[in-house]
Amino acid sequence: MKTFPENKELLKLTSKMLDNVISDEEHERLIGFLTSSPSNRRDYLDMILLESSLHWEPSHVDLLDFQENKPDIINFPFLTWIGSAAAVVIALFGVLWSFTAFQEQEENFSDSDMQPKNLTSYAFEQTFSETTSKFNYKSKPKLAGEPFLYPREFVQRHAQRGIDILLNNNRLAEGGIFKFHGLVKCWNRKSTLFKPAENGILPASGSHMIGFEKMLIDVEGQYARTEETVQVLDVRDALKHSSPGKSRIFAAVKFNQSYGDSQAGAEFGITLKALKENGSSNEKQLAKIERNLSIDRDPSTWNSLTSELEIPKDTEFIVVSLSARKHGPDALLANTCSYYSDDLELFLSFDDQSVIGPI
Amino acid sequence: MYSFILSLLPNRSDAEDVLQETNLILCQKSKEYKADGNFRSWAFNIARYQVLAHLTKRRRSKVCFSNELVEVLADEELDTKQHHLAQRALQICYGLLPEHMRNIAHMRFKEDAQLKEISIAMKRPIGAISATLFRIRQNLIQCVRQKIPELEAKADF
Repeated sequence: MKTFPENKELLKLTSKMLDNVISDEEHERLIGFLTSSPSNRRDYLDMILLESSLHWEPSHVDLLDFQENKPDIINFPFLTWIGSAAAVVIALFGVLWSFTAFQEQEENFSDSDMQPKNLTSYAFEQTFSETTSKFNYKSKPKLAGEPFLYPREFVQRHAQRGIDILLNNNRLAEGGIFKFHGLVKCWNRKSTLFKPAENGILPASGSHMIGFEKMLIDVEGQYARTEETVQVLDVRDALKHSSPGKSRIFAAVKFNQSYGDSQAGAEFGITLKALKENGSSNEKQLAKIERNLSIDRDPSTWNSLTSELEIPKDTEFIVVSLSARKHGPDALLANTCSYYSDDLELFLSFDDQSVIGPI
Repeated sequence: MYSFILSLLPNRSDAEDVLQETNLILCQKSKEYKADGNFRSWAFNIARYQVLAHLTKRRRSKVCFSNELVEVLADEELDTKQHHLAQRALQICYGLLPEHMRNIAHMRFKEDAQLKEISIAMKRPIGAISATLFRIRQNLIQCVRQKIPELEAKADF
């Protein structure tokens, strides 16, 4: 779908034609539009593609359909005013209770409920809590096929926050640890993701490991995914003093999963991205590498994965994220297991000589 | 394939008939297809001839194009590069339709009801239903056009 038909009449005539309510005279006008201009033909074909998608691929539309059966209205047979008053009182108590109970809860996740809104102003807005630094998945959307975009969106938001913290030298930002490693500054979210031993999984080392959030599952596509931005590195100062093409980042990490009903181990991944933050605050991805590993189902063994990326000359920030995903029917059982990572270590080398790490 | 045929034969039942016939011929002629060839071109060519044959044999609908216009439209390339993104966008946009529009869209697109049936069910004149369907299509196209760049940007990062 490239363009919105500027010619509203063409759109109207095509719509009437598709609904078989076009008159002979309107039909002639439509033919006139189509024969007169390639641009009109392109617009017409875009509309046909839309119509075809709505009609011929019902599986996409099916899952979005409203509930046709409205809930029954329960009528009080008598003394309806007493019932109404009681309902009001109960509702007031409910509001008071929920206000006090959740007063301390800083998390806010602006409305993503799919109530119909003005189409032209639709925006999926999320606000980020400084204290929890975690997004709440409770309000995840109901659309099939859409959910597995959201882990990526959350990763983007965490990454952007990390970049902003490093840009502003906000050493007291919550939700992570701000550290210096030589000339490299690091925003590290690992501590907010840490979990102790659980679900039969012992950390690979130490007393804590990274625990992934539950996977978001695309039922129709049979795909499930969870992803976390773990670290953001500010390499601007380090790269100033090094020669182009001689800087690299190495990463090593381990993955594991608990027992569950799924038949196969998940596919884990580590992604390294080199970004440049330009003047307009839009990130520019200069390089990216994603390495993946399918692991076994044995919770007593940790599976190792390494990755490395040559850092391009203009890189300002490096984002490190970890993911876990499942495909096929097994994806539907993804959340019967829990997914973990541990021993993430990063090493940066500049001019093939100086090495910073492990970070 | 259905989109291609519908663009040349803008009557749904005719387009579905031709699609069935085309698929049968593709199966029958499958051995003639060269594995290193362009399947899309081969299949669409067969569909084009089926559309022309259908127009020659049966012009039961008043809504039909001349052979010359069919040839011109068939030469235009359907933009399917962004089709996957457009479908995603359409999912979002369809869910944003107001309830009264979704009622009508459901009957028209999912249940394939004719306007007369929708008019009876909704107790509104056919003209009003037609106008609403026009607004539905208009809203969806606008919304999809706005959503695709957002989805593209998300997919890249």
